[in-house]
Amino acid sequence: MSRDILVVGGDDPATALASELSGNVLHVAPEAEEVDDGFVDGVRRADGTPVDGLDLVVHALYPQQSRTPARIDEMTESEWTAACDDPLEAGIRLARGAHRHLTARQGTIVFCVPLVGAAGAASFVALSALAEGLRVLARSLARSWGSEQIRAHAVTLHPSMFLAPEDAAATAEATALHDPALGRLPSAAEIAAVIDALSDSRITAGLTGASLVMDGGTWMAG
Amino acid sequence: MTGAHGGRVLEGQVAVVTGAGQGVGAGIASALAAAGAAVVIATRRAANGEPAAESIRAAGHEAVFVRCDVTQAGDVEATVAAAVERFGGLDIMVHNAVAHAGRPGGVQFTRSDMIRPQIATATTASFLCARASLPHLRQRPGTLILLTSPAGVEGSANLPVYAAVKATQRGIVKSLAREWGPHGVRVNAIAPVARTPAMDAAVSANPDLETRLVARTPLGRMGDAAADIGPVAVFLASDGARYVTGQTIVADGGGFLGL
Repeated sequence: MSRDILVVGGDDPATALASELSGNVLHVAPEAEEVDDGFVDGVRRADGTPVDGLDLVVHALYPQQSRTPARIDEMTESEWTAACDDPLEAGIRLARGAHRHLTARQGTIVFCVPLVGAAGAASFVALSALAEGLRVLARSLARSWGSEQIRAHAVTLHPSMFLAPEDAAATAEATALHDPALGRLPSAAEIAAVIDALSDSRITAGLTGASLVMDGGTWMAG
Repeated sequence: MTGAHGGRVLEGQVAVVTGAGQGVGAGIASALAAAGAAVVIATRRAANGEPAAESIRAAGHEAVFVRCDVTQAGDVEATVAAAVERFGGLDIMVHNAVAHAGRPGGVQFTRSDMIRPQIATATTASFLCARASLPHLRQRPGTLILLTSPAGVEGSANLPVYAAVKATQRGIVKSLAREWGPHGVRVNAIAPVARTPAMDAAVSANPDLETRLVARTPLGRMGDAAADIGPVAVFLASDGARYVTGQTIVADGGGFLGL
């Protein structure tokens, strides 16, 4: 039986991962404020039928406001809310809504987060806050849902998967002492393969609450 | 906390501490005051803010109460303005206020109307405190301290929203440290475990909690807000920490060692 996968988020990395993950992939790109507790129940397959059980949920919902550089003293409260608070709440509510669907399949939820959360980045304070909030949300879900055999992880990705090329380059230049140890960054296919493995109970049934850093060995942040 | 030669290490400095009416905030405020700082006790309720300020004044230190709802930009800006007007500047901004996390349980059981207030009090308010204080911290240069939690590092099965919002503060600290470092303004976090009214309530609801917490704590006891957590804030605000920024100091008796 093919796996049912829900990928949530517009642009990359969500779009790139949706095309590489193995299974029946439903890719939705809502605005953050559209994600309420009933959001997952409202997702429809291509044939119009509702989702009824999920093997894998991949969260990569980062609004453009989160990806736009802004110094904190130049941000309005509404800009902060759109960049951090709204998508954080969306992540929490996505998890709430996904719970029963994951329970049905003993599934896995994976949060893709930018490395700016772990390493810090000037002009991306809101994105950093959002990333760390989601990364630790994954740990909390792992702790509370483990007894139901639902697993939860965070996969930390290079800023280039989230930011405009010039912003990603500037962030890496300002924060990383090293070039990627592998000499390159992982491809979307390689990241998707790891996420597929994280949700494959034949391989990773004993793994939950992990924070995997897939940046080619640039920061090696924990 | 006094310096190695008995001097008050924060003499002449000015601090704002949010949520300082009780618990960890009150402990930090009293420790900063004892180290020589003039302290603004910023709380929503005069019922606990005014007595906290009076307690510090009774000990011979400087403190005033200012009513402040940290989720309101105007309140935060007015509190900073009051500190500057009353004491002549701002050196130390401590954001400690926290919203009620609700009944323990998995995220699917968290009351829907208790999610946004936790985000607002931890995350939005950290932004508001940072933005309001920066113009003054740059002049000294001063320091921003956010109170996070060990749950914001390791997650929490029963307080998942609380853990998430506390983690956002660690993200804020790391990126703000990079953003403000060129101004000489340092940004750090403290992740405490201490006996507070909130902890007492949690223990009352779950009597095994204290036993389990203490059992996993190498130092074998719960922290004291004033004696154990306050001095950490004093250190981070002092010249002794002048090369420390972007860090989370876990002050929990050694319970969490996973950093």
